[in-house]
Amino acid sequence: MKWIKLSWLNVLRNTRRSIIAISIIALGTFSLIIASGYVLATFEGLRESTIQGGLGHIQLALPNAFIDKEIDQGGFSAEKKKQLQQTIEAMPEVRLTTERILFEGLASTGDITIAVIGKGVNINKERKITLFTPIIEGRNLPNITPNTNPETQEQIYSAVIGEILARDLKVKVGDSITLLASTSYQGINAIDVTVVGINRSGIPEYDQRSVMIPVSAAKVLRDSETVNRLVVSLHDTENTDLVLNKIASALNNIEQKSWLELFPFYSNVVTLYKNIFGVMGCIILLVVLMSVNNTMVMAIMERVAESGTLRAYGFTTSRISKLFATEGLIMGLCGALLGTVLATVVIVFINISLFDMPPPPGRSVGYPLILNWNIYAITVISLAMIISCTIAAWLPARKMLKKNIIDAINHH
Amino acid sequence: METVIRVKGLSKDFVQGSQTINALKSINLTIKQGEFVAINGYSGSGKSTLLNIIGTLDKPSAGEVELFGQQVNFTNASSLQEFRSEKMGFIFQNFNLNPVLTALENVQMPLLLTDLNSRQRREKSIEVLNKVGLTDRINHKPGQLSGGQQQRVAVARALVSDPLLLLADEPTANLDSESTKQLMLVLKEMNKQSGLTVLFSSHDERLLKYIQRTITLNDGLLTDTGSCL
Repeated sequence: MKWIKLSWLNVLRNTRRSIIAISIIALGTFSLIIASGYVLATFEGLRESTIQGGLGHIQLALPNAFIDKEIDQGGFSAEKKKQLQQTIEAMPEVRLTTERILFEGLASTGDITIAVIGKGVNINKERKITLFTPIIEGRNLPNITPNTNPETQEQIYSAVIGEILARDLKVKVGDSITLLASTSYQGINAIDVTVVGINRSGIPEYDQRSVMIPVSAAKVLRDSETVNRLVVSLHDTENTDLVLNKIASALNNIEQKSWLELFPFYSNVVTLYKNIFGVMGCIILLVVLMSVNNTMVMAIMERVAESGTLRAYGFTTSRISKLFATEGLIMGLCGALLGTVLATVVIVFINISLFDMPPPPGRSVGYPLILNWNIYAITVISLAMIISCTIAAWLPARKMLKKNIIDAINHH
Repeated sequence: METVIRVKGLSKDFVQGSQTINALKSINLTIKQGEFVAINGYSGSGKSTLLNIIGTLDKPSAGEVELFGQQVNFTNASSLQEFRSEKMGFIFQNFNLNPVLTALENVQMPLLLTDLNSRQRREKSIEVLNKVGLTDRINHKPGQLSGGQQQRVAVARALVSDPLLLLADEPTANLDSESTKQLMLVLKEMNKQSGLTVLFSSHDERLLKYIQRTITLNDGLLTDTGSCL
C-alpha cells in the first residue's frame, strides 16, 4: 500500500501531463471497446439472423444427402421423423424441431418459367424459427392444426414467394403459378399453387428464387410422404456443439450439420473482421504505448537525481523500477476505467437510439446499429491497456536505472 | 574507540578519452566512531570521489575499504544496498527531496525499507524532525520551505534510520550563513548525543569552528590526515 501511495503521489506530481496521458489511454480504451462492440454485434447479428433466417441451429438429413442430390430426393419416413423429433425434443437445450422438404424445380405462369429453390414447411413451427423474412404483400402461409382442423385444398396449395421472383414472374397476391419438381422416384410432378404472400429476405439472390409452400403440398409435389430435412432450433446458440454431440451419440444412420457448416461464410467474415480489428487494435495500442512511454520518459528524466538518492539510501533498482511501473499501472488503470465508463455510456445511448445503418453488401435492407457490451472483450482490452502502460513505464525506468549512481545523484 | 572507516592504498582512476585521470592516489585513512570529520580541498581535489567510495556509491580502482570492521565487497550490489540502508545516512548538496511529498513523507522514505508500520514510521520521523527544529513544518512540501529548512529535512531523512555513519557531500554549498550555522549545530548535536560519526566534504571556511578533524586532499593526494581544531 505504501508503494502504491507513493506512486500515486508521483502521478499527481505533474497533473496536466498525467491527465493528458490518462486521456489518451481512455480514448484508446474507448475506441477499442466501441470497435469490439461493433464487431461482436456484427458477428452476433450475422449469426443469429442466419440461424433465425431459416437455417436453424442444426439440420438433420439422410447420410450423404447434403452432398448427393439423388439421396436427397428421399428422406425420413413419417415414423422415423417422429422418432427423431421425440428423441431430440427431449433434450433440454432444444427449443423445437420442424420438418422441411427442400426441392429444386421450376415456377411457371405459362408465359414465364423460372428456376426456383423451394421448401415445404410446417408453418406453425416455421414461424417460430424464421424471424427475418417479412411478408411485404399479402399474408403468410395459413396456420394448420392437423388434428382439429383438417387442411383445406386452399390451405394446402398456397405459396409465399420472393419479392424479385414475383416481379420476374409478373405475379401478384392471388395469382396462380405452377410448380414443377422431381419426385422422390426420379419422375416429374407439377402442382398449381396460389400466391398468398410475397416476402423479402433482404438477400436479392434468395428473393429471386425462393418459394415456400406447406409441407403437405411439398409431399404432393414430390409424391412422397418423406421429409428430407429436420431442422433443430435451440434456446441458445452456444449449445450447438453440445447438442450435436448428444444427437451423434443418441441417433445413428443420420447426418447432421451445424449452422456453421451450413453457412461457412460466417467463419470468413469472422476471420476478416478479427484481422481488421487486430491491426486496428495494435495501432491504437501502439499510439497509447508511445504516449505513455513519452510521459514516463519525461517524468523519469526529471527524477534521475531523486532515484539516485533512493538508491543511495538502499532502494534496489528493482524496487525503484517497480515504483515507476506502478505509476504506469495507475495511469493505465485510470485510463481504462474512464474509457470503459465512457464507452458504456455511448453504447447504451446508441443501443437506445437505434440508428439506422445502410444495407451491408449482399443485402437490400438496412439494420439498426447495435453495439455489444461484452465483459470479456472489455476485460481483455482494459488488461491490454494496463499491461502496456505498465511496460511503457517500466522500460525507460529500467534504462535510467542503469546509470551510474553518482551520475544519477548529480543529474540536474 | 571502534574504527568506523579504514582505507588502505585507495586509488581511483577515471578514463576520459585517451587520458587517465588519477582522482585519488593511494589514500590511507582511519576514522574512529564519533569523530566529526571534514574532507577539505579545492574543487577537483577528489573530496567527493573519496566520500562516494566510502559511501559505497562508487568503486575504487585499487585499494581496500573497511567499514565497521568489515571489508567492503564492491562487486555485490545488493549487499551494498542493504549495508547502506542499515548503517549509513547521506546528505547531498542539492537536498534531492521529493517535491510532491511533505517534509514528513520525505523523511519517512528510508523507513519504507524497514519493517516498521505506518504509525511507527510517522512517529519516528516526527521525532527526528523535532530534533532538527522543523516541528512546525512537517506538513510543508519542499517548495514551501527555505533552502536551510530543506537541507534540515534532508538531514532528518539521513538520520531517521539511526545510521552509524553520516556522509555529507558539500552540505552547505547552497546555504546562507544562518542556515549553515543551524545545520552545523544540528549535526554537532547529533554527533554528541548519539555518537554518530560524521564525515563531510567541504571547502567552506565558515565551517572551521565546528569541525573536530580536517582531512586535506590535494590533487588526489592526502596531504593532511587530520588535526583537531
